[in-house]
Parts: sequence; C-alpha cells; structure tokens
Amino acid sequence: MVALLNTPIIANPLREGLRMHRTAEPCAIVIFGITGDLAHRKLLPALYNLYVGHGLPANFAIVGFARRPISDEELRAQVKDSVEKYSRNKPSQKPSIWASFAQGLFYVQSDFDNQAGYRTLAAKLKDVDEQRSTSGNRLYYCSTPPNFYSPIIAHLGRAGLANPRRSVAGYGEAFSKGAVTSTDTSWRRIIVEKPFGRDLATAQALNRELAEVFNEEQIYRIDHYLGKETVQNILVFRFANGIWEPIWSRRYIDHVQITVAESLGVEDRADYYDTAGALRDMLQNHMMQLLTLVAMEPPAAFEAQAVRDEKAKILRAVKPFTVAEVAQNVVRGQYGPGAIYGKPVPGYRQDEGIPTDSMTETYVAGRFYIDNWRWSGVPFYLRHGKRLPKRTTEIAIQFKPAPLALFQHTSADELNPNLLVLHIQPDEGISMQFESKLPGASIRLRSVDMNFRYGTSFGVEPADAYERLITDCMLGDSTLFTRRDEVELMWRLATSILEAWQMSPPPTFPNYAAGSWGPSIADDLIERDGRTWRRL
Amino acid sequence: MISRIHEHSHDDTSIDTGTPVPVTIDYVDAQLTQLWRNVAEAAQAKGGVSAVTMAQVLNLILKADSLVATNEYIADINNITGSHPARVVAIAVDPDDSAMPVQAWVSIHCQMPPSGGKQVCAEQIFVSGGSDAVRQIPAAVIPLLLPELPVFLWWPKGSPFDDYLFRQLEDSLDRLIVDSANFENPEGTLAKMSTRIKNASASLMPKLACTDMNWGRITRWRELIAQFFDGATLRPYLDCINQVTIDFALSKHGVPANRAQALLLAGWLASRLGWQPVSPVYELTRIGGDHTRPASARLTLQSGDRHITILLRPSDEMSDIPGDIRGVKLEALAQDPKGPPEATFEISLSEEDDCAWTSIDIIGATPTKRNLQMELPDHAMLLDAELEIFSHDRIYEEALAVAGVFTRGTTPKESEGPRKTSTGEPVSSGAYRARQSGARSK
Repeated sequence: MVALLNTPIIANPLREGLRMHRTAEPCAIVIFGITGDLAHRKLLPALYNLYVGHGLPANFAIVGFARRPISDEELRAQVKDSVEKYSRNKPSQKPSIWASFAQGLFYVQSDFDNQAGYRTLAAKLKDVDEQRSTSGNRLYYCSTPPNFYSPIIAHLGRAGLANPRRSVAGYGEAFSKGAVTSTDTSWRRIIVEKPFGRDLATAQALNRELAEVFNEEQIYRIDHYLGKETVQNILVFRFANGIWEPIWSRRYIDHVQITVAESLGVEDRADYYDTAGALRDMLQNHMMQLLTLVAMEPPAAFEAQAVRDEKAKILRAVKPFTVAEVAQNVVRGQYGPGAIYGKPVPGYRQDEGIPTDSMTETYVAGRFYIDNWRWSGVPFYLRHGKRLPKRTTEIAIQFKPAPLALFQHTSADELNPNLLVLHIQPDEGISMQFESKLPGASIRLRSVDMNFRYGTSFGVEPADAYERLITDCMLGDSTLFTRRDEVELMWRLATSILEAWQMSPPPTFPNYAAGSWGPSIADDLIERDGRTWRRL
Repeated sequence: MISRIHEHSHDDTSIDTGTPVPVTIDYVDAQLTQLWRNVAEAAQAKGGVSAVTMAQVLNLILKADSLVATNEYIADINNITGSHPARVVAIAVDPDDSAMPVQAWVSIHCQMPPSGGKQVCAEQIFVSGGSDAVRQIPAAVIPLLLPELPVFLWWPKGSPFDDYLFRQLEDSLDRLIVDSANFENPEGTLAKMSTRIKNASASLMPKLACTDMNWGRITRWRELIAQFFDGATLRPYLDCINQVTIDFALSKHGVPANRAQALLLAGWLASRLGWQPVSPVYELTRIGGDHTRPASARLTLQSGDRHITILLRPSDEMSDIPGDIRGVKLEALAQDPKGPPEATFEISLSEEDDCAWTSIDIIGATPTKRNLQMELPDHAMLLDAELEIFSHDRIYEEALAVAGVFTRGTTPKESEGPRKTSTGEPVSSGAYRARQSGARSK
C-alpha cells in the first residue's frame, strides 16, 4: 500500500528500506472502560494483533480503568478469552507469545468520576514506567459510554495526567518527579470514541472541555471509517492518478451516490440507538467523511493539517438546511417487520429494548450540494438504513452520458452512463463500468465492469481499521482523525436537519419493511431529479 | 505476506488446464490463445465463476537444474499467482541427457483469491533441453518474453555469473534473484556480486539489479534490530555499540559453513551505521581451539575512535537453510573491560516454532524481555517480496558492498596503490569509501 502519510524524517538509520517505517516510542495505553464491549471486541484484539505483527513498541503497557472490581490477573484472563474469540491471531496458537503480551496488562478499579481513582492511576502509571520503561508517554483511550467523557477529561486534567508541563502539585507531584524531568519530551494523547456529542451544542461543549485540558494536537477524535484501507485509497486513487483530476468535476460528473446499507437491526445497542438514530449514528460522521474525501481539493501535502484543511473546506461548503429545505432534501424511515436473508425479523418497535412508540429513524437519505466551483449543481445523494436487504457500503460516481447516440438502433436513453464505484465493504475494491459492443454483426451495446479488488490484487486481507488508527495515534499522526472544526461543521449540518424534524409533523412510522431498500419517499427524493438509486 | 489457498491445481479453487501441452517455440503464443479460450469455457461451464481475469504484470524466468527441481519451484510460483501474475518461462537443462533437443510446453495456471471473486490466471511456458542444446535456449526464451514488462530471473541454486545461459540473457533482464544459501563458495560469490554491482553503478545506466533470497530471510532480523532503536531514549546506544555477535546454523546436509546471511547482516549494520572496515578486516578464528567445528569469522571495523568487532559464530544448531541466522547480540561494552556491558540488545530464536526472544538489558534499568512471533519465510513468501521491487534495492546493494569488502580485504591507503588479495583480485574500494562519508547518520 502506498504510504499515505508523510512520516517525519527517519531518524533511526536502521529503519531505512524496511516496510514498517518506524514503531512508536515506548508508551502506556490507558483504556477507560476496558471491561466494555468495544474494548473487548475491537481494541484489545487490535492491540494483540499489533503485538504479534511487531507493531507495538518494545516497552509498552496497557492499563485498564473501569468500575468492575477485578485484579490484574482476572483482567488478563478476561482479555485472553475475548482476544481468542475476536482476534485473527489467537492466544491459543502461541501461548508463550500471549504470556509475553499479557505481562503488559494492568488494571485500575475506580468510578470514572472519583478523584481518588485518578490518583491511583497516576501511581500505577509511575510503577509501570519503572517496571516496563514506558518513558512517561501516555495514550488515553475513552472507550466508555459518552456521558463519562466529560468527567474523565476533567479528572485527567486535575490529576496532572494530561500534560507533563501542566503538572499540578498534589497528586501530579509524585508522578512528575518520576520519569518526567525538566527536559521531558514525553507526550500525552487522548482518543475520543464516537458519538462525539449529540448535536452542535453538545459537540461544542465537549470540544471546550477537551480544550481546557488538552491541546488540539493531543486530541484524536476517532472515526474508524477513516482507518479502512479503501477509504484511504480514495485519496491515493484520486491524487496518485493523473487521469481523474480533469474529469472530477461538475463538467463530467452527473451525480454521486453514497450508500451505507446494513442488514442488521440495532442488536444489543438498543439503548444507545434509540436515543441516536440513523442520522447521528452514521450520516453525520462516517458518511460525511466519505463525502469530504470524494469531493475535497488536492491537499498541499499529505500531512494532518493540510488534508484536514481541505476536508473542512468541503464541509464549510455544504450549507446547513432551512426547515423548508429539509423537507425537500432529507427523508427518514423506520423499519417494520419483514424478512432478511429469507428469515422473518421483527420491526424496530418490536426489537428488544425499543419503546413500542419509538419515533427514532433507522433510515435516512438526503440530497446535498457542495457550493464551490468544482461541485456547484452536482447532487450528492446519501442513504443509510438498517435492515436493508444486504450489507454494503459504496461510493458511486456517475458520469454524464455520451452526448450523442451515434450507433444505429440505439438511442441516448439506451446508453448507460459510465460509472465508477468505490466499494468500501464487504469486498473492498474499485470498479468501472463502461459500454462495450456485443459480439455480432449488429451494433448492440452492453455495460461491462472492470474490477479491481483489494483482496485479489494484493493477496492480503486489509488490516483492521483500529490497528491502523491506534498505530497512527502512537506515532502522533492525526491525518486520519477528525479535527475540531470538522466535527463542528458536520454537526452544524446534522443539527439543522434534527431541528427541522422536531418542528415538522411526526412521520408515519414504520414506513419500510425490513429487507426492503427503504421507504418509497426515498425513491421519490431521487426520482424527482430524473435519477434512481443504484440497485445493489 | 501471502495466503496460500491450494498447493495443487486440481481442486475447486482453480481451473484445470490439464497437463502442459507440448508445442514448438514459434507456436507458443497461438497455443496459449487456444488455452485461454479453454480456460474461459471451463469457467463458464462451472457456473458461478463468470469470468477469469487474465493478468500478467511481469516476466519471470526460472532456471532450475532439472525437471524435478523445476516442478518444485513452479509450485512456489503458483502460490503467488494471485499477487504476482506473471508470464513464467521455466528453463530446465538436463545435464545427463546431452542429446535432448530444445522442447517447450505451455499451460495456464489459475488461482482463486482468498477472499473469493474472480480467479486470476497466468501463463507458464516450460523450455527444456539437454546439455548440447544449451546454446539454443536463450534464442528460444527471449522472444517469449512479454514486451514492456519487467523481466525477473530466478536462479535458485548456485552462482549464475559464469553460466552461458545467464550471460546470454543478461541484457534482457531487469532483476536477478539468486540464493546465496545455495552458493558453493558464498564468500567468493558475494565478493564477485558486489564487484559487479559497483562496476555497474559506475556506468551511466545501471541496468541489472541483483537480489538474494538470503536478503529476504534476514528482513525479519533487520526489523527487530531496528525496533530496538525506534525509541528516542535508546537511539543514542547505536553510537556506543562495539561488539556484535551473529550466530548462524550449520547445514543439516553437511556442506561447509555458509556465512552469507551473517555477512549480509553485518554488511547491513556497517553500511547503515557508517562503520568502516579496517585491517585485518576478516579473520577466521577457532574459539577455544576446537578444530571439529567450522571457524568463526571476526570482522574488524571502526567508527571515529570506536572499534567495533563483529563475530560470525557457527551455532550448535542445524538448519535446512545453510547459514540461517539463529541469534544476534549487540553490546555496548563498559570502559572497564571487566565490568558488565552497559547495554545489551539481543534477539534469539526460541525453542517454540516461529518465536523469538528479544531483550534489552541496560545498566540501571529494568531489563525488558519479550517473546515475539518470528515466522521463517518460505520460498513463496520470499519470492513474493522480491517481485514487489522492480528496480535496484539500494539498501541491499550497500550492505552487499560492505560484505564484499569483508571478503575481499580492506581498503588500501592511497599511497600503497592497487593491492591484491589472496584470491588475486585487485582491491579498489574508493567508491565504497566515498559513499560511506555521506552515509553516517546523526
């Protein structure tokens, strides 16, 4: 894979020519909410896979922080079970390697809102620095329910754990006398999981709380979509190939469709999902990120600030809607009973943990315009829903059709427009559709596909997004993380929709059957423009 | 790394193109077209698989000693069809059958990608002949190469440099892949390779790039050694190392000690860290005077005022790959020669398969010891990695240049004029020295 990012000058002379440019400095990774689902399904397997692939520094430690009263040993046993279940490298395959990894796992038991717990954490980190030579570097990972982000951030600040130079006398003192000296170059970084707020006001409030304790360079707002190889490949595809740039604009592109379809329902996330909904859960963050990558101008350099400057410019050019515009451009839906893959499934309101009168949307589709010179007048259609017939994520760029029906017995209507599709999941790849002549004496046309698939062409399965993102954070590269202004601009747009929905009469839910491609109003939305959703 | 899905072409994941079809050389392309048609029809008849992808991204010539050996190596090539679909031209010369004329067979090999989807197919052409036919083989091979695609020659056994076939093909090649684990005289051939590269780099258009399977085998060692010094706190120790010990295995098959891997690793350390070989640069020593075992080699180097010794030491272990590295230790010794070393960085293969221990031991700090996965790469993995590089591998060439200095002798002083080594080869290391002056890092 093309190295996307500008790594700083290789200071280790032995690294030159090696595929892995560098591994991170020694560090301790503190996972808040280590006993939770995300940590067990994603983070810890990712960390173990990194360890097996030599991606963790030689001196590392993982310190869990959560409420459950368990010991270091119990934590290690629990983590072992989860890694066995969810990781591609299994502890049982190489018990000695697991044992070596598990020695670096520690636990601190505390409520997230208890100052004493952070004192214990500071002491534990000091021990770990001595035992494991982690050099005072810290990566904090907020993997808790979102209501705990604020107390965690505030307590880290108060305990002097956020910044070595801001150490406060009191509980920070013991710590700063340890590994931290006046010439200290150690770092502190914090990864904040989604959801990042639930509207513009709460996102701004969270940003302010973070900014009181951390500098923007220390803050890594994770969007795991950006860790996916194909998502990163959008940038390589666009900016490492000269042929796309001239046609990547309103002159040649008719419209863009971004689809994130899920066949699953809310599963075990009922509590969270019913208060969030499809717009907050998917469109506001992941899909807007996909939109920015497709639409952004070439950045001045492949480094964090330049890339994010261009993304923010796109988000600024997507104007928030008025109430009337929302009615014209955005539709929502909720699934009723139906069938998925031939099996009957209940409706959203019948799902476990969902109120029977819930008005939460499980489907959202919208038409967005980017008001800049490149994209003026080109609609971007975004749709996302749960309980759709299959799981697929793709970006389809539809070019304008050939201007003239040149061939006998064909008409312009019969000419299919060229289509470029970036497949994000399940099969990561890129395909191009163009017209070709069917063999025979007469001119008959047929659309054919030219396909490129990641798994085939490189013979490897792309690495997990979390592995990539945790590595980037340890290396201090924030290109694939969302910056403060991006988050707030995305919320500005989403909030304009949420507010309009609140003011408008309640929709009739459910309005689509599980296993269908969404409500008919979504078809109306695009068909009004003389276009149709892609059949997937 | 590649995932292998099948070892043989007769299963669900591939299309059977049957046994290779004999064909005359000038009819090869026509016959291949016919085979492609068969493959496409077979794919359609199977249903499900709607199309096959014909892909050729490079030419790969394989030179093996016998038909039996050819089949072994072809199995490795088949395993990487998915990631490096190539037009393969396999040459087998049968030394025992002088009268055998030049013959050719063609076949198509398809592989299903691990994640499903369309199969990738590539062409294979076998060219064989008896010892008398050797002179006709180059003329048979060259027209079979696909135009405008890079040409690799894989020479898995022995040294190609004096071979008629190699000399005839040389101008058509972009990259040569040898395996110094299978050299009869590893020191001499490495020295010769480094001289060739140096001469070639002096020309305006250095063309043929060389590489070595053994270089791929030490990649895992290079990665782990580099990792010790990724952290800024430990990097200064790079400037204090004065003793390096590289342990290598002896061959299970009883050939003399092969120090090629160890020499390349030593050459890599020296070229990256700017260590200069000084006289006597290469001495064979028998530790404890044990004459039943092959000798260790002691390399002497210098960096500023610091003297550095690299010991290449045969271990007690035996390996299928002659000279396979078993352990590496880098030490910064204390001023007081009796005291313990200030810092020791060590990697050693553990008893468990595919695992290694790495340890960092620094005076005044808690020692760090880790058990890590360290997979032994097989031919297919090594080939896969080599085929990714289409041009010169500068890091390898610089490592080989120093390894060549080790085995050729040390740099003469300007006033001494050209000097001869014991092999009678003139020594001229000016280019090497010039490069070193710029290679030193902070």
